[in-house]
Amino acid sequence: MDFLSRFSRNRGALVGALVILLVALIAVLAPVFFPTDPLRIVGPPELWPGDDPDFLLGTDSLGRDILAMIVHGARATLLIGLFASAVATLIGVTVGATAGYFGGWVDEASMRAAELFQTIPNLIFVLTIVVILGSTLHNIVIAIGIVSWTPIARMTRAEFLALRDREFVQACRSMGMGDLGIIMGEILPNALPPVIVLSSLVVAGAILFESAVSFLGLGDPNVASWGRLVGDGRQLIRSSWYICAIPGVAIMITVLCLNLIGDGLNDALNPKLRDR
Amino acid sequence: MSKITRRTFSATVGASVAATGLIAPALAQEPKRGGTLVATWGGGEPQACYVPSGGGSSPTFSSSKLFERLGSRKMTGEFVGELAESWKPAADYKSYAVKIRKGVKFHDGKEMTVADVVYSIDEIWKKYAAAAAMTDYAGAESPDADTVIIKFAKPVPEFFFASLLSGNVNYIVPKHVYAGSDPVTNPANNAPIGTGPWKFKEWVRGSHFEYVRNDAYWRQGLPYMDKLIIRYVRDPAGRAAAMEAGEIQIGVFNPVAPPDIKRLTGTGKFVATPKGYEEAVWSTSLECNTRNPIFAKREVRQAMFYAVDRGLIAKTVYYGYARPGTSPIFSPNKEFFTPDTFSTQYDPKKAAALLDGAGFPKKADGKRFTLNLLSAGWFAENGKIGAIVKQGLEDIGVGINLTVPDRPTSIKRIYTDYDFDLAISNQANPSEPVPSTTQYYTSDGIKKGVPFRNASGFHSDEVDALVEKIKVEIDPAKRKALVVEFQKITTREAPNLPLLELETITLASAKVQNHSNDPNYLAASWHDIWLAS
Amino acid sequence: MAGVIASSSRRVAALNLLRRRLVQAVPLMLGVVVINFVLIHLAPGSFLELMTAENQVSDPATVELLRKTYGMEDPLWLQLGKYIWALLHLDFGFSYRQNMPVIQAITINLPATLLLMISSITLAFAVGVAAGVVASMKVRTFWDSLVSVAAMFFFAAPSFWLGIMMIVLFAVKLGWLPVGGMATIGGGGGIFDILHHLILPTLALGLFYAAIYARVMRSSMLEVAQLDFVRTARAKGLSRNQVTLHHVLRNALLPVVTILGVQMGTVLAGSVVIESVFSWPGVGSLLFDSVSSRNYPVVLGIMVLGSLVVIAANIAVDLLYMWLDPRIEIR
Repeated sequence: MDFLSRFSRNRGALVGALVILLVALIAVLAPVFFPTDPLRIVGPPELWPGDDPDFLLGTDSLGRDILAMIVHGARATLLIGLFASAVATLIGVTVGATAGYFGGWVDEASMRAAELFQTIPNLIFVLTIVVILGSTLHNIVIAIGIVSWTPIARMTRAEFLALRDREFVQACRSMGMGDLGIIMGEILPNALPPVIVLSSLVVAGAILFESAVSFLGLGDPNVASWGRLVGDGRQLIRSSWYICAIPGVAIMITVLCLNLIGDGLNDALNPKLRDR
Repeated sequence: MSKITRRTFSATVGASVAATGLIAPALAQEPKRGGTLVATWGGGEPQACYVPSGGGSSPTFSSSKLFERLGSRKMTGEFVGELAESWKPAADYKSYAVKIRKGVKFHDGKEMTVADVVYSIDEIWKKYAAAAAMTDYAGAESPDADTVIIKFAKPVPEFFFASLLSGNVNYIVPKHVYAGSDPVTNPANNAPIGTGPWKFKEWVRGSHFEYVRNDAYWRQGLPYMDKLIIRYVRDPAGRAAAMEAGEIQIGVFNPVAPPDIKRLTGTGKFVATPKGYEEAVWSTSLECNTRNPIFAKREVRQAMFYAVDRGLIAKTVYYGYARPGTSPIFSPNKEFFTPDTFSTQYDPKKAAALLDGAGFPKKADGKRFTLNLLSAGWFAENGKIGAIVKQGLEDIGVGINLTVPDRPTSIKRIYTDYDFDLAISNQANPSEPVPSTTQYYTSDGIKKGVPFRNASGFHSDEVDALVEKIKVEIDPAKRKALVVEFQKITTREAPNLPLLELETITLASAKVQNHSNDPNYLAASWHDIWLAS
Repeated sequence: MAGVIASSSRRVAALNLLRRRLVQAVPLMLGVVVINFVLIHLAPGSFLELMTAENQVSDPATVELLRKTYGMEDPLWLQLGKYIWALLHLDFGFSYRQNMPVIQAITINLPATLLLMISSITLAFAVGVAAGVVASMKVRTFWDSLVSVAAMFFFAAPSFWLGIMMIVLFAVKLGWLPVGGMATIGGGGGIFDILHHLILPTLALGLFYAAIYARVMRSSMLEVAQLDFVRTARAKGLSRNQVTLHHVLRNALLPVVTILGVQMGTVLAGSVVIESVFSWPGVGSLLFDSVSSRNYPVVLGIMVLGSLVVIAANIAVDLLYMWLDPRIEIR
């Protein structure tokens, strides 16, 4: 409860969390509200929002319902964000933990690898991977995970470096606990809080990545992604710019709320690092 | 927002075209000499200015202003000589004597001779530009300084021969520049030396080609203008903005999006015309991979076509600038097209019935079977068409996995790996059906790794024999009858048919005169274009 | 504090840093080259297949000749070795698709991208730092909230969407700025014309980073303002503004400078998207085309050069960091 009270003291974080919960709810309930495939053509093309009560947010260039695509797009968006962040966290924590705990050449090699992945411009890397592996949802998730793990690795490593020589760890060692046990059971739980904050920001970053990839036309064509909607609407900005505007607003709100949550988590989990 | 229908488009175009007097056969004004014309087209910059094997529409567009062909086809349909004065078949039609025009000079001042013609045919046409068409080629010789005799192993119909002489990139290139080199990587391909009305001046990569008038051009007094600049603009909105600002005067091959066409012609300052593409009609086609046992029966293949709402595609994807395709031979083809073919126009009930009858009933989950649909991503429209085809097929119980790969992956999967069940692709074919159209339906068209051939795997002895007859039938009436037969069979077998014939538009400022006067205007030399003030 | 360490030893320290970094850069570049080489060759549809397809070549002899010409007859490891050897001689290979050396293909497009990157970073730095300083000096007032809200907006908005919305507003509706491109076609090309076209892409790319710098600068300023040496300066009677400018600002800039270096790679990546939105003729468009057409030499060349830019920027940032606060010894 202490955590919750610290979290909710940050008003922005509270609002952000509520909105994300709402988005998640919409995503889960999408098939209930819009049972038909959102990519189906259901009406006349390029209807403005408000022209027709059946299509509250209008239709796109083919005649698909934009509201349906936004609602179903929420699913894709949140799923991608969560899974990409999971991939990045998995890689990052593994690399960072081993680097921080064992030190020596393992540390050197891991940090060189991290530097390598940070040197290659990230979106370019993602685009290349997606073009190579194919434009499916899981390839995009993997690609984003591959470029996002480095800050998590560094953070984990820093935490492990700080914690590994603490008394409680030495006590465990003298008790005969193996390395894996110490890493997983003792240090990791204590190292996690800042990592969690970072992971939440990675979710936001992953959503921005995916929308950029879909915008450039490399997204999964079977998925109603928000980024793809923006990309599809590019040809029509003179007459039907709402096709670009609406999904972009959706992306922005989601990313914004995730950032607010990240701030709140930061406040709640790292009270000593707050800036005021 | 209002939609553009064919009717409104035709009305608008008709009105603006009539207003400028463009379609009036007799020019009221005297052509104005001088000035610079800036042109663009609806695609991107080519990889080289001239690509010996064609390389697609972009290098064809850039190189056709600098090179010329032996013959060319007029809007009226008749073939006339260009670098050739005339040609005559021998009695057995196994050879043609071509009289070569005298007094034609290359841009570097050297005289064009029969040696250049023979070299071009032997080394460029046979190996790169027209390899598929010249399978029966048996050599060329020049008995005197004016004549080239082109020989074949089998009789060759006149229409076919004339088409060969007028082929897209069947140019006469200078032997002294290309002999002894690898034509594909010869640096002259980036600064070509030809006989055309325009001379290469400069290529600013990423921006434009600059051509200047060939003062020694063999057509006296032409071209009228001083300079021709071909500008490349990445996206249609940018082209529309440039044309509106007067920076580009003419754009061929759908330079701007349909809503912009309507808007610009509405100002009265611009003209849009579908003329100039009769010999290069584009289509969007649907192809069934007959290697999949599901497609063994022709009824199943026909059902695929019955399930697609072509009218919807024409309306929503092409804004009305397309018409349903009914035959592998396209409707503007006066010589060979017949409307009397097996129809597979939109009829979902028929499609469902055919699948039921073929032994593919709907299972408990509502699906009959699942297919992989590959929509080639080289045109943005194909992704949308893929979505519509997917919807139409899912409506009759066929599950569809849609992928829209990029150009290299599409080419590889369709034409090398044959990794698809259904494919959406595109073709542009001239009037002469051999080999461009026929190679999609014959056994010898199955060439692994070579694109735009028979990827469906369809083979029928009947069709093979028919095409062999079409190749050598000299009598035009009999030949047409054979091609009509060909159309009837292929539409009935339905391995690969056009869904739509696309209407291609040229957009020009009302000041541009003498444009769109060639049935393949993108590949024409533009020797008589001029700009009124 | 700043003048304590003698300037000659600072110079020595800087040179040592430079030397160390350059040495470290070598295995890094090697790693970049190997990764990219492996990646691009994993792609389905090799360059050879694409070129033979586009050239309608089916004659096996010609295919073999092309394979030799494109250097693809060697086993992969040998191709990689040859490539690295050539790189060391600054030869990035030949782009058969464009019929020119790779380095030429890249340098044609490079200035446009560099222009965009430099103007975006400058805008981001100037606007972000200014906003952060203002927010920190007027903490918890309306101005502070305004900066915070604006920063949140620009941080969360996808850059390509922001670009499109700005095009809709400023180019389509108001007509003040061009829809895209780097210069007016057919004439123009003067410096003012280019600047006119540069405005929207710079804003679209730079505002995201301005938001980051604003937030970081704000918290950094607040943190530094509480440090001992600042209090000492105030106690000595210096005015608040003087203290701010001379002492707080210089030290508060450090975190911003750090982030700037780290993000050079993302700025370059971000320009790929912005170049697409605005039809900006830079390296991003070239990269996109080259990945799509499996033009290996060009993709590798761009990735290598891009990584070089990132490494160079990081070194510059480290040096700048050292100059800003010589107490800090950078390893």
